[in-house]
Amino acid sequence: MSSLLVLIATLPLMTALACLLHPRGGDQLSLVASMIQLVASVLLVTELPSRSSLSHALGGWAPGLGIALGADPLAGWLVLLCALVQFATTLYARFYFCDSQARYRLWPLWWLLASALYALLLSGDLFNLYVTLELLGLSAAALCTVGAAKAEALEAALRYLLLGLIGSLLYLAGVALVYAEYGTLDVSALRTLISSSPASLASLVLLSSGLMIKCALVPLHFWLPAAHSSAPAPVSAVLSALVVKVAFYLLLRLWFELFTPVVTSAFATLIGLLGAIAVIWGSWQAFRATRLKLLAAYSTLSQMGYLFMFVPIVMALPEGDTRQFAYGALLLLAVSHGIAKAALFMGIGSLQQHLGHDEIDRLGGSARKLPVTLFAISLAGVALVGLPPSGAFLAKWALISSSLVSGQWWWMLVTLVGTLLAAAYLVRVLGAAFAPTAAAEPALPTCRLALQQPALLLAVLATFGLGFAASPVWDTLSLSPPEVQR
Amino acid sequence: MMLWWVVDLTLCALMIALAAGSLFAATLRRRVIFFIAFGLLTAIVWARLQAPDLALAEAAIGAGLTGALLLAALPTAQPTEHKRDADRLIEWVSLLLAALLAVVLIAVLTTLLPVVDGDPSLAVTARLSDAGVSHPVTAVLLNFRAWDTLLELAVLLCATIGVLNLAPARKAPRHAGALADTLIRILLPLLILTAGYLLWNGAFAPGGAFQAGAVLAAATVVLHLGGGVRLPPFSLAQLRGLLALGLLLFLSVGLVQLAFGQALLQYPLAWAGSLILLIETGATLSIATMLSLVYLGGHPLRDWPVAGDSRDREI
Amino acid sequence: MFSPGELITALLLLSAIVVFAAGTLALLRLPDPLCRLHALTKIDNLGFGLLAAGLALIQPTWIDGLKLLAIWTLILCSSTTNGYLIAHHCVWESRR
Repeated sequence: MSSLLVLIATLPLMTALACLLHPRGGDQLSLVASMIQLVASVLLVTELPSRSSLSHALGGWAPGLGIALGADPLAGWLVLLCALVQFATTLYARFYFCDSQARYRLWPLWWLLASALYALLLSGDLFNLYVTLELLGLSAAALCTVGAAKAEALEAALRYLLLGLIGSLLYLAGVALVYAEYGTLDVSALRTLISSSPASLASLVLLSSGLMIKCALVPLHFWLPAAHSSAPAPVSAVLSALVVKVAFYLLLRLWFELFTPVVTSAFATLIGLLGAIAVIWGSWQAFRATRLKLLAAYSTLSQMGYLFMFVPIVMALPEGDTRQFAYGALLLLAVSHGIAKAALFMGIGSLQQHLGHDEIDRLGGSARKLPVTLFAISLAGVALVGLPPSGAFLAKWALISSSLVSGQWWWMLVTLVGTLLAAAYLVRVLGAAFAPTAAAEPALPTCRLALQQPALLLAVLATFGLGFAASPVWDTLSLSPPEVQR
Repeated sequence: MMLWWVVDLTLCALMIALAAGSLFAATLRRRVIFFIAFGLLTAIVWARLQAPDLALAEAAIGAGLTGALLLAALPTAQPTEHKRDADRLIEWVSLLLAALLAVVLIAVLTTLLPVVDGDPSLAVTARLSDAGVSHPVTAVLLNFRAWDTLLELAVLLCATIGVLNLAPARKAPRHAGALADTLIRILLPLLILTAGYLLWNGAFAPGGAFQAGAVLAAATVVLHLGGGVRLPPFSLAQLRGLLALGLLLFLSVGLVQLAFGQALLQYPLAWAGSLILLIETGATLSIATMLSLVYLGGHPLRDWPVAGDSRDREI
Repeated sequence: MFSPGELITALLLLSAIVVFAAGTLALLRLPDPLCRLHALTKIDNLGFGLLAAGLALIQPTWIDGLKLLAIWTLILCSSTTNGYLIAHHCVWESRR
């Protein structure tokens, strides 16, 4: 069983090296590797016995001296999310770059990014997490430049890189403080060690602010719209769906498992408040955006805002089943956004390839040309806004009821405004796309017709899959946080 | 005792002065030079803090290669003539935040003394005899926490590919003259010898793959700056192989252990020393290639990573 | 109190300090690059030489002393070349 962990952690690295050594085989190698990874992560999730976890002591050394790879149901589901999105976007990237040399440059970086994602999700060591964050930030920034010759794309990538580095350094400073106070970096040992003290508080603030830069929480968000909107579409999809999400996963681990004696309700409320600002500001900017990709990037900002906004709601609930239920809802929302946002970015990429631009006002007639893509975008929109039957609807519903239970009704107002704005910006896009055409547009190159399928696959999954199959996800996720033995 | 206080205080004062110089000096070139001096001083500080491994790495990478990179990038940097108000605001805000951070960190550090050592049975010194090498830093980097080092190699690889994707190599500077060629002919074998010494030494004294790789890369920098003596040409495939070698060896050695029913990266005790040396040798070559390519700014061929034709030129 | 070897070391180190101080002062005060270069190479050759010789005398084994002298030889080579290169560059700049 634990060899499954090793497979998931090392396969992306092996694939990256293979793609580097044999660039022309990159397409096939990537496809095969992403399929194996998908199967492995499905196995991981189904075989993970609930209420317990897997671990693999690397080098045979006890955690604390060495490093342990580990997975509990929470990590398992996120690994599955990554594998799923990675599979669809790999397929998509193959078609997106089908007539360009850029894909030879893409694949090694693509798989290094994947290695960072899986290594992060499976790591049980604070310093090892720093190394994975570093790899994540560097590969993400390098991917932004693939196939982009424009100066503003380079500038956005550079800013992304520098802010990522600042975030990593803040995180590292926090790790150093934790090590100085408790003498270990092992997450499972720290779980029982950490108590309330000035150093713990300082390291919590450092770790959180470092990761919040990577999550693009307002006011640390300013790098995200440019970076996510100037990258090529498959890269944007992975950045928006996965990269910001794993940083949020790490924050959840810190707040709900490691630093529980240090996190106060005032701290949680502050986080929630920043999240609420992000929801409104992001949605409003998305509504005002003139380009599709910018719209999607701002939408990521607001969707990440929801995740942060619901943190104080979950924290205010008493320990026990209700809290676990709400925690599960929060994760369901994160997973659902990951899948839907990847679908949206891929759909936008197809439109952009077809039209040669992504300006919303000039979308007229595209629905007739690319019906499958427009269907995928609408379905992804359903999941993003949170309409039934999507998983996001169930999650939001559960969280709003929880907020009413704990008497924090004001979060409901923000959710309402944010949802209305989200509906408005998506309807705006669909309205433009279904408008009659003005002029004849060039047809999509034949090798790119298959572009449309992966987006549809993910959009259907986000709306129907997660909606109807929410309960197993919910059950295992809800059980994850307490009593984890690594 | 008193004398060391004087030395330490001087080092602290110099560090702050050089840091201020590298931030606020009048021209970009001066700031870069201050920054190189800052790197050298940092190496001395590490040595004073009894971390010779860090001192070596800092001197080779922090001061040497970073300095060469920054100087090489200088001519292309646009001079910022007049700053906008927004830039000034950002500068002030970040200064303020950094000052706040420093104050908070100092305040917190005073609450931390003495530093906790953690579980003694997990201490590195307690298990050093099982590591296959006698130098504790190498034992941590290549055995106890080998997964970190493996991922760090991936980080370096990622940075290198990022650079290679972006740019064709910078042009070589003009020939520096016959005297420089003579110096290079003396230095080159010495640098290679030093790299080999550092690599071998890593098992029982400060040194190791990162330092050795950096010294080898310094040889490339010297060659490139001299402009006279040249290396035999590398093809793109050879370069890709050299780049992947370190990580590939590391991963393969780690994965082979799985077949014998052991954990990933678990070396059998009898073989640990030799396996670590093997991994470090591969890593040295890869790191040297990566740092050299980052300094050169890419392969001279435009169409990295797949050559359109066979017009391989030398680097 | 001191052995003759230690006395010679002290003398050599003190003169090295004098050379370094004078060289640094010259580096700061002399008018143009070529003159300053002269000061710099004096520090490298003479200052380092005195330092290396002084330290070599108090090493526990003779091989360590030899290593110090080898380092000084390397510094001689590089300082000579550096001085030439910088001077060359200065002349080239002034002719432009």
